[in-house]
Amino acid sequence: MGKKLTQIAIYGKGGIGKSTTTSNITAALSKAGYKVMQFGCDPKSDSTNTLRGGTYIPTVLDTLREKNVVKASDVIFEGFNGVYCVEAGGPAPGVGCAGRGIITAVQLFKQQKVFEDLDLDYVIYDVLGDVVCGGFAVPIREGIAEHVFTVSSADFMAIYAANNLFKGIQKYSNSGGALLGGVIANSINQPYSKDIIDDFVSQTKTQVIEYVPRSVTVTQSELQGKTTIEAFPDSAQAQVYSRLAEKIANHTVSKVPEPLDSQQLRDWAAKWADQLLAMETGEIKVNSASNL
Amino acid sequence: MSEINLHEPEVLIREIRLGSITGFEGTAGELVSCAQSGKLTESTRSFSQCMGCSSSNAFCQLSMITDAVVINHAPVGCAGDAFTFNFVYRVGQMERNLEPSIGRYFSTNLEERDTVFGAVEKLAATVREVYERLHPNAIFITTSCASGIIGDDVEGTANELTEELGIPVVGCFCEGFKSKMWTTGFDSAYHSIVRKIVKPPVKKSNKVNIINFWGSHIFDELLEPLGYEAEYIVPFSTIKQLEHISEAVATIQVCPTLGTYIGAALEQVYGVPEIKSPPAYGIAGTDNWLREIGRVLDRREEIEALIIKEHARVIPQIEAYREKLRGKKAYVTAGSAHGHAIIALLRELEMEVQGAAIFHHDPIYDNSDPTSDALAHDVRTYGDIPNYNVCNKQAYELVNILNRIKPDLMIARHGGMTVWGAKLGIPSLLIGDEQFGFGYQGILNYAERILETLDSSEFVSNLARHSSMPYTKWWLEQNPFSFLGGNTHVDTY
Amino acid sequence: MSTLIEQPRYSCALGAQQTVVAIPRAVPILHSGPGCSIKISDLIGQGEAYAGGSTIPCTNSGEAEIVYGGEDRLRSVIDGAFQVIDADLYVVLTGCTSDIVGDDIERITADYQELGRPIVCAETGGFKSTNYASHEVVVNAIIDQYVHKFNPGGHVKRGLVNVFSSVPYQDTYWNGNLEEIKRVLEGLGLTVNILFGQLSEGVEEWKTIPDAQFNIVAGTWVGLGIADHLQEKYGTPYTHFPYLPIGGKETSAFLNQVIAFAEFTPAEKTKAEVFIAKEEGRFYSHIERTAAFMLEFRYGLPRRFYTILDANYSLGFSKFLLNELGILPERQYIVDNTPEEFREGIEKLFSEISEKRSTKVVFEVDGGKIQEEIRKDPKKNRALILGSGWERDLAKDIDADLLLISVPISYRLVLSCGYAGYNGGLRAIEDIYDHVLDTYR
Repeated sequence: MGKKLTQIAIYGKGGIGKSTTTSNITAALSKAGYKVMQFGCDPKSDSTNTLRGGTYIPTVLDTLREKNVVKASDVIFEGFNGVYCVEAGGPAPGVGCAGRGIITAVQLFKQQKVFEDLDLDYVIYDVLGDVVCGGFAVPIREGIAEHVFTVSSADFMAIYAANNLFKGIQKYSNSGGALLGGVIANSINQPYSKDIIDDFVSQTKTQVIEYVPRSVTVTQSELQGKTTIEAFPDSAQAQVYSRLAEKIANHTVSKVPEPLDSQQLRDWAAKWADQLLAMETGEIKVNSASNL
Repeated sequence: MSEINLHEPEVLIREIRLGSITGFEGTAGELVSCAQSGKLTESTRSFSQCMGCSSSNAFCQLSMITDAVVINHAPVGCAGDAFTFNFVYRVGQMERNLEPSIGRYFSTNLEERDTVFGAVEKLAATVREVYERLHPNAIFITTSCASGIIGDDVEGTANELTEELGIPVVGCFCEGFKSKMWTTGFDSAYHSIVRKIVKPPVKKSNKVNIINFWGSHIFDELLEPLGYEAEYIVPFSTIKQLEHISEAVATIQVCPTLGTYIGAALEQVYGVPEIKSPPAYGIAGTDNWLREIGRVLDRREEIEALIIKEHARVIPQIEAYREKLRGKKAYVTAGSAHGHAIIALLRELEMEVQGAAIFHHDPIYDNSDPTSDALAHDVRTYGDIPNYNVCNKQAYELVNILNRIKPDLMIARHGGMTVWGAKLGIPSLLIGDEQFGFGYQGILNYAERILETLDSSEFVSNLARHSSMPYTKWWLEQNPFSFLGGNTHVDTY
Repeated sequence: MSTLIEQPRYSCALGAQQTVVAIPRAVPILHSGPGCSIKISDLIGQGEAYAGGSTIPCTNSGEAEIVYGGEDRLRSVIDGAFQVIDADLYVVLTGCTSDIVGDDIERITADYQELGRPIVCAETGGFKSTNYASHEVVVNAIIDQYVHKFNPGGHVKRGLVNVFSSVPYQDTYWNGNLEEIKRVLEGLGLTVNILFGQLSEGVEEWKTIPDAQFNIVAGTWVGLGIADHLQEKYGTPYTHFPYLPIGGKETSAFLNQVIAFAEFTPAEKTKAEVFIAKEEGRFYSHIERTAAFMLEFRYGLPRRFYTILDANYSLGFSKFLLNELGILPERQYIVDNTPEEFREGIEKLFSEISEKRSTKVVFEVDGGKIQEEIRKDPKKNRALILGSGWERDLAKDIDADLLLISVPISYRLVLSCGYAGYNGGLRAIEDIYDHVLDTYR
């Protein structure tokens, strides 16, 4: 005991690749010798699939619904390389309140002091980035995650979403909650993609932790129900994830995010739109990108 | 002003439908002129105490329909008022010589998992179970904050079950957070009755609907000699009776705060004329009200004769009371229409109304008729009333005001407030029966009780010597409206 | 699939507002919808107390607070409460609205706590539990967030005990019960923190909770969560008497159990036993005086009983009615939504209700169902029902006598009446037979 537990939250708009990224980080940290738990906070309950050979695990909320009382040990499952997997669960689309579901699931774990008993190094919360009500922000409240990272691509809609997310994080960062560690830039293939995202993080006073290219290796792994770290451990993509995991493991300084306001964001986007148009019409030379 | 729309499951809240408010300080005259010139704005309080919510008000009307059942789709705490209304129901049964029975009220008992996963299946299962047990003639489903926030489709479920069970299963949407005025709950209950229970008229009856709480049957002796029958709704009616209220020849409001929606609905949708004069409080008020009855029921001569007769009987007695009560200072706290009524009575007895704390203000009722404005009537007939405060209870304001004003008498017409008068040694009176002050006789009834209350001061002066005061000295020295102010914070909207 | 309740006899988690109201000079601040507080007071609020009833501050959450969050509103109401209400302790409690939308009240309360204000918070959204369960949550929150600041423990005071028994207001007779329990424990020579009601010293008394030599839980299950927590936090051991002691036999058993746990010196023990003997003597002299009536009254007296009560009262009264009055147990309904883990223990206690007898116990929250079952029983002889105001017609229909013990109790005005202890047992006998005799013209 006496080991310091670090809790991290990873947020990302639906479909941006957050669960893929998070699962690979978890797998990589585990391979590096750390004890890790991944806690999925998405009502789809599929965060930890690729750590468990493509299978769904019983969720905290479903178990609560059936049994009335849940012991945390009932809903922790072991996955690849001994990582611990938990899914909060939630209602079917169109009914109930998923936000309340997250509150209930996270509180349950907090009350039962699970992390100390398992001697964990890391707990990673994988959270739906459409933080539409208070419940989805519970993992970044004081006393839970210390650092939060957001996954974004260089598409403008993803950036808008990340900026919006910064607003939510800012509220909690200002009162003892998690601070923003940085952006995990996903699907960065074109050189201009890197430029866009670099410019965005510079405007919002944060940083890119790692650039993760789109790769068919990832697709192949997922179809096997595995992370890239497990399926293709020697691939270049696996190296990227291992690097990312290492950076997160060594990460110490996080900050309060500084999102752009609506006007600033519009101006910023307009500037980039002009620039991309100029590239397209040949005004600016562009080096061709190389896919992996 | 207010269009009755029976196709929507939810009725518009009073703030929007009527422009009602819960915060104002000034004189009654100022309030009336603001209201009538469309300049009424809401004020909120940055510090507030607990109030009451729509669901209780809706329940109070639905809970005493003798052959219907109410299911509260909520955690069990929301049914905390069930027994209170059951008690009222049973006393009413005694008064009407009905067989004793308990009200059949159910809670779906929402628990944590229901808020996460939704609870429409639980609701449907509850409705079916209740139907199996009791075979009622209708089932009302009242909603709650919990069911409302998670967005359970109560209307859809109710419609499906209506078809399945063959009786009306009706949603009544009265979540506490929906409206700042708990009286919206009355509107919700009536809306669910009018849209799903009341049937189009087949023939005209000789009945006069009396929209009331559960007070005494004082209208029988007025209407029967005129050839009409009083039909007291909604408490103690049956589903069948409610189906036919569209056939009545007129609707009387005991308290327009209560019945504004249903009176207007019956008139707009089914052509049942609503008596729009302010309810009969005070001599002028009673004269006006009776004359409208005479006009609507086509009994003008009989009414004029009645007025003359009653004046002869009552006015000398009122004079005698005036001798004893003239100049005595009173402070009133009550719901809207009743507050206006009590003010009329007190002024009729030539008492001084030092001020009033009235729960919410409706600038206009659903019938869109400015003559129904009872407060305007009071101001016109008796003069302005100073220190007129619109509030939503808020005992802290009341205690502060009473402590300053120290009236001879405090009159309340809503629970929870008289104790503050008593603790300060002020004789306090609350009359439960809503019909008590109605009409010429009502003036005499109230006068007698007021005299009694003023006389019996031993209880309150003794209590004042020994009572505790939970308010800080600081507060009692402040302006009572220190926390009232401005419109709602711009960031909140 | 439905767990419907007809005839509610308890409140939701927010009902613990009354736990706070019962502490002298404490006030709850509700972050909830506008109707919650008064509905709670309607059912379990008889006897308004210092800052209860209409005095309770509330954010009266409306549409704006639901959609946009209610944290600013809560701050504003807390600020106002500090200025307007003169209290020693302010307890923020949440209702459904705040808990579903996820307002961060811990953060808000912490801001005030860091300024040294006497304020604590607990999440008590109605759907989370019954008020029986949340009573423990609120007491523990006050201990963790307020008491602990003033007294981190470490100096045990000999002879000091904390008592966890009746849930204030949920038990309408809580004042009388707690008074009597305090009296008899003091009679043993102990110093008693009764914590709630007129005989409590309020927050000053609460601050001494960690100093207790041991704790006493006189109740079936509510209170164990608090005692366990205190044991974990301060190492205070506790003794558990599994129901409310009513009458001579059970109160003596209770007190003897406490003596055994208290590590008295021989002199102290003797003094305590003398007290018990004296109380028993007084109690049984009354029983003796009344025995002739019990045995010889020519007209009907109740010979069997039903209880429709919470576990505390159900066990306590069953034992009392059988062993002290000889009324036979028919069936016992426990209506407090007892958590699963305690049910077996309760069944066992009922199976040994006396040396030679066991009685059937049913856990049920649906009042309508309970009444239907009772109506179907064959009517052999006069019955006694211990229940609530919901039972009036049932009692009349089966010609039974009804003693109102559980809420809703609208037909009685309760001041200091209690049924615990020696005095409570005597009072119970008077009240039962008052009713019975009153049925005769």
